[in-house]
Amino acid sequence: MTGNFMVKNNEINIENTKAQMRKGILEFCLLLVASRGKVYASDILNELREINLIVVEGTMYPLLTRLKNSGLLKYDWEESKSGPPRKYYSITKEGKEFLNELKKVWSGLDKSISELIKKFK
Amino acid sequence: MKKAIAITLNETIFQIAEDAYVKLDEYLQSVKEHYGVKEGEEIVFDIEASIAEKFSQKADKGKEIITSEDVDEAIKVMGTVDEFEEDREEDSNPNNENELIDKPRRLFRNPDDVILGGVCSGIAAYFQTDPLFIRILFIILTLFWGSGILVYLILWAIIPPAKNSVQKLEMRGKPINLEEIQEVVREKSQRLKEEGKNIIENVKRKRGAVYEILYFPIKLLGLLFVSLKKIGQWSLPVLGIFMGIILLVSFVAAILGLTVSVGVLLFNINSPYIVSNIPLAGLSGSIYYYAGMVSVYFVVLIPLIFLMMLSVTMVRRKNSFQKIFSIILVAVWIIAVTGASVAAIDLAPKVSAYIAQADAEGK
Repeated sequence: MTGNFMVKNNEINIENTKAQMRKGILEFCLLLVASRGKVYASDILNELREINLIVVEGTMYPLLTRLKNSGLLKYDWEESKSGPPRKYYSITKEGKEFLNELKKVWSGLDKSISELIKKFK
Repeated sequence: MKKAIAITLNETIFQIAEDAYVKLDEYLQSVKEHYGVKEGEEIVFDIEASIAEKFSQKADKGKEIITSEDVDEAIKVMGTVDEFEEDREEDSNPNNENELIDKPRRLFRNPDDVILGGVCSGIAAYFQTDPLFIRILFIILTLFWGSGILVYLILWAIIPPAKNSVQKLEMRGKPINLEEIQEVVREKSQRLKEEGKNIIENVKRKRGAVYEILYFPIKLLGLLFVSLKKIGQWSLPVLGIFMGIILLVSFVAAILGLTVSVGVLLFNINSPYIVSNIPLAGLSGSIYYYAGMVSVYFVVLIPLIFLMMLSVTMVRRKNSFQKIFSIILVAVWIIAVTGASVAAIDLAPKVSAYIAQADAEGK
């Protein structure tokens, strides 16, 4: 009984931890993708889906809106051949600074985690 | 047989089955409700655009009507609100903005409505009143030995500007009511009392104490303004424009009158129309007389110009000031005050000497 409970609890934690990790870097990844120039929302989606960062599409829109409202992203309307104009997102100057900061933090984390993993192999 | 409805999603028309429409509408409503009106609308717009694209692809493949299954599929890909939250926990707080509004307001300078430094509009935002009242108050204070300018400069120095939107929200704060203001005033006066007890500590926190003392009368005035505002809420705009026109005419007249009188005093000093018990004609030889007159002219003229501009603002109901213009005016005013003081120092002994002489002659 107790063992079973432990295992079950453990599983939930692992899912939870994974989700937490993804959550933490989602903004970072969105800014990264947007930093290469004007991108369409579904292009960003495909990039993030490729690396298994996003489970449902809807997650991304509130995040994009929030990044835009914080002045890190902006969007322009561009004509499309099929249908109404589309929002193309690009990174702002503040967004770039923000991203550079995150990049630093990430490489720092990457380095120390790798060392940690090596140390306790 | 099923009933179908025509809907538009992101400016594209789709034929959709009635049950599918109900499902889609519920879904979009849930998203909108979750994120609140302001943010929600934009998010729903993006989600609608994305769903429209998915439906368009189906339509391109020759599918004429969107069915309930299509909507299910789209919702599955987009995810429900609960699933958004699983990906991002922070999103579960739709009351971000409300929390800010519930905080007590903070006094900031308002960079969006600036004559000089945005002090008055910031104070007005703090008391939820029209910046016009505060500006008039400062100009009236300025007519009393320039104290308005002094207080303004001090406040400009100590009040920080509202740099970002969060601070701007904090500046506006929550809707004010009389009880809350009384509460704030009570708290502050309580704190002032306590601060008075520990003078030593008070000195350490000198800035804080000065701040409080400067705030206290402003707080009381705020109380007055809010009551006045409640009375005149609807009548104010019309009355304001009306008053503005009257004031504008008066101030223009005052400026003209001032200019003519100073002109006469400067260039036609022997005019028989000048009636004064100060011997102006006798003083007119001195260079200080002319410097003094010109200075006095500007000392009075500049507040009048500000009042005139305020009247224009009242009539247009829009800030008619330009920052650089205001700064130049204030600079000229300060120079003029200095000039007038210097001239007064020189002329005062002459005037008293003349009066003494006149007295002696009279005897």
